[in-house]
Amino acid sequence: MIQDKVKSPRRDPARVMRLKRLGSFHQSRLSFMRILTRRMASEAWTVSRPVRDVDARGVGRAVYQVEATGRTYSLVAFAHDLPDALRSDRVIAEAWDATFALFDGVPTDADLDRLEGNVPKQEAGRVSETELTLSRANRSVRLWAHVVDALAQGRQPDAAHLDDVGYLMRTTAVYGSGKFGAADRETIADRPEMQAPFQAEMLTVYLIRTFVRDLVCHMARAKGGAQAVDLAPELAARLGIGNSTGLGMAPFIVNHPVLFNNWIMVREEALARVRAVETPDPAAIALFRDLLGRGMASVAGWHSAHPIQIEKLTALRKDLDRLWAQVAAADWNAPYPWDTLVAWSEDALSEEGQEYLASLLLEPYGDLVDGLADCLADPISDDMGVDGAMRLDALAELLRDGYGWALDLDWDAPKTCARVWYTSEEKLEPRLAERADEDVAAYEQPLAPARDATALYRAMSDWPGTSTVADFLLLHPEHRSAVRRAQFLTFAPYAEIRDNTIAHDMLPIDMLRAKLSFFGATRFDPRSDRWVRIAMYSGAPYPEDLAPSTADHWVFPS
Amino acid sequence: MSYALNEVQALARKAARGAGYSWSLSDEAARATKTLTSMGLDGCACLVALLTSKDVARVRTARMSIAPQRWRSTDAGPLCPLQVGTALWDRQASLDLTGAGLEIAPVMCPGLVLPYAVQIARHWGTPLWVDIGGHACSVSGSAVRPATLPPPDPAPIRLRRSDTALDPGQPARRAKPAPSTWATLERLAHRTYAPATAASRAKGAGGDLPDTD
Repeated sequence: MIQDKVKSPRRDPARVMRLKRLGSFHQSRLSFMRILTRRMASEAWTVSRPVRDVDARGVGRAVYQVEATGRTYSLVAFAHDLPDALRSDRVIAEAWDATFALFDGVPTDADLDRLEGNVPKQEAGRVSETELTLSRANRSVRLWAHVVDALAQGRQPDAAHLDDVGYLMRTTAVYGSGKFGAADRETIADRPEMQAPFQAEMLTVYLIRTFVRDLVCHMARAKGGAQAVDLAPELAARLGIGNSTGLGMAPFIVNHPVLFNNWIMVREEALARVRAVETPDPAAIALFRDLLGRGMASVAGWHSAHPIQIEKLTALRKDLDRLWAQVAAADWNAPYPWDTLVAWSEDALSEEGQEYLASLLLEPYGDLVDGLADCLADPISDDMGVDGAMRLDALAELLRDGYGWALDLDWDAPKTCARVWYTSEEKLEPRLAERADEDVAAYEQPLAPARDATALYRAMSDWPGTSTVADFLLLHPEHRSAVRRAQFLTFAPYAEIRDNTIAHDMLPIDMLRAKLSFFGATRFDPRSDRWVRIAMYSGAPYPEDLAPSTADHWVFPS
Repeated sequence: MSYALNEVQALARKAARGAGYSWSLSDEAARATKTLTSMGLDGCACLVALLTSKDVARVRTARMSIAPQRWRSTDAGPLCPLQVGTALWDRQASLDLTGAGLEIAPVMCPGLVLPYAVQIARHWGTPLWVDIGGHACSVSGSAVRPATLPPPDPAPIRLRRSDTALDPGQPARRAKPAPSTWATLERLAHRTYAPATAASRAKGAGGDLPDTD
């Protein structure tokens, strides 16, 4: 039975918010993709394709229309014939295999014509307040041709080859919330289906996956004629949509501290609730064990050529073997067995395994944790002002609590301030430089909150503790943002990454992975220390198969 | 052409930084510009007037002396609207705006103080009366009436509580600045972008493995 008593509090932010741990996070049932598919299924959303005008070369346009509860959303897709030489995952690319916008409602022909003039240009075009997202995708060259050829010849593609790549196309950006003229998040945030973060973006990617499956079958028919076959449903289901994510995602979690706090705090609260279950139901134990086994099979199929990730994957696989043995030997009659398991993992497993377990433990307890999805958004912090009446001694205590690890660092030491985050004038691509080697310090973005907090703390040291923030900021307005962030910690304990984001050994991929795990990404495959490929919706049911019975555990292959 | 309010906020932040403001006050400039825009006022033009003023370097660092009913500039030059606005908000718990209210020495581009008056009115649940060099307006937590901005020239400000309830009006969801205004913000924002170099292109985003997929 589930007890009300909370045996374990939420984990300490000082432990959770280290970059190495954040860079080991995994998707969970509170990930944004899974929140969306559960809602789509429970509210019986339907998807249709009123427009498909794509020629034999795969060039043209299509519309996928979603009837949500009381509202329609339409993915407008443009397919292109892109020469191989132009295919790049970088922001600085200027052409793609396919481009997309999510339209708020049902587009008219005039809307489609307007979008055709802009969406294929991506950042160089403009969309409007009727568009919620703007996105693009490139084919996996090695898999696309293989699948089209096989289907055109009337046979199914090689399953092992499909699993090896994992997707037919990968998106290289999904822009929302006002970017390039699209509607602001505020205009849709009060809709129940859009209240959780990134739901418009997640819906876009879900529909892109359907478009891609349909396109590959269309191309095979165009090539093979009567002998061509469609991609078998069981093979199609294994395919996700790839995504290539670069440095642009890293600043996001620094620039949205309360939002990021809410994601972490929701997961920590969910974990605490499960750890407080005194006597698990046999069905919950059975489901946990089933999903652990299926998860192990899934992780066995993840690949990476990057040394860091190879090491992490090896550790994760070893961790999951240990976890499997521990679970097999567990005493389920002792009270709080989940809590016991978590306590064991903290000594026995790497961070990869610990965080895999933390996510997996939520699976049997939808009734206990799914409601927390309502707490993931941040509708308040942008309008929150500084508390000017706070005394400096209280602020100093907040700083010691939230940034204590940083306050004694020598922030002028080359290794401590080794990196510079900046924006290039080249398509405004976010980049990272070595401070000692490249002359870009004048363009530095404020993405080292711990350094700023330390500067604030030192500037306050001459002031009496009884002075107010208002008096201090009157003379030191440059510290205002650091004060604001520190004050967020009074209600958002997980708002700050508790590591140096400009250190010589900082790995941007840890920041990317933390964010992508909340999206629901799997198959993390870093291509360097600063960009990563992932898969989204691998195993998810397509619209025609989406139902309450299939909407939840698709991440775990059956 | 219309712009999303988040585009306004993002560009305003970079433009303020490009004009020499600290990131902290650039964050404030961005929020203030977005607030004005959301109330149907031309926040972008107001910010451009400040950032392109020939006095911006001096205004940026202007300091105030604060007494309960009178705020003065320490050097007799006009004050920075962002510093005045943030100081008003920071003191809102102890501000006495009864009676004759508070008098503030001339402020450059004083329209940018209005978002902070809005914030205080919202927090207090009380409308305010604001006189900016003879341009009088009523301010609530969601509106400024009349819905016009004062001229950008330095002007003294007087604030006091008001009893006048305001029609909340409809929030504006898009910005329609003049093309030249937007272009000026983009020009200033461009100063925050590093010049493209071959080394930066090759290393900065980390394309360490070939893209053969």
